[in-house]
Amino acid sequence: MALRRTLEALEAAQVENAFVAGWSWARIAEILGVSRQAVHKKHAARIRARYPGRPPGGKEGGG
Amino acid sequence: MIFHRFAGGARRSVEAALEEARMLGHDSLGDEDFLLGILCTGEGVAAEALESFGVTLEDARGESEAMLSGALASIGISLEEIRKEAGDAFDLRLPEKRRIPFAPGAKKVLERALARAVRLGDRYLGSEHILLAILENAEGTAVRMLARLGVAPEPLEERLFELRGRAAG
Repeated sequence: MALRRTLEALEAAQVENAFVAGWSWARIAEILGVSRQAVHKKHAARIRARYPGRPPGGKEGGG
Repeated sequence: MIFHRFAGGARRSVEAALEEARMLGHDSLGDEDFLLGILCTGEGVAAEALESFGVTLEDARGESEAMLSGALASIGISLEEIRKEAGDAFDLRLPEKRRIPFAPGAKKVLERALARAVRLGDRYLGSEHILLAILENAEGTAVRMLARLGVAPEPLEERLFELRGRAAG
């Protein structure tokens, strides 16, 4: 239980950090080893709510 | 369930337990969360008994985190390092919309609490019955947490009955 929750929180934190650093969803998805849709579905709403007005990461293209 | 038989104090402590679990990132409610809930409300002889042994909500929260950290350390993961690396974005708290189910042990606590109330001839289910039920499970996380705080089940139970007697008399 402890490990599962910790991993979940760590993933959320690192995705958020990557978003803030300007990473594209595609690149984040690649690092996580999941599809871009999956990472978007799981994290986009939470992160956008926290950083309103910030464009989706993606200036590096590939998104 | 037996929720409708809960006295106000017991209900509030269970609600507080859920909130504590959410805050600490427990994705199911364990018996140690009941302990935190009782301390959080600070109501009734259960909280009074715990406080008389110097157990505070802050201590118990700290112990809960220390136990999580210890469990992770046993498989080679440092919570401290994770915190340092991931920064402020790392937050164990569970989102508001996430339902937190009762762990099997926690369900049993409530069943035993009800049985204790019946055996004691009480017409209500109070937080003291929940505490008694928690203490019955020597293998439980709550009892381990109390041990780490230097409190053994037997004297705590004795104190509880002492305070009950005083409240009744």
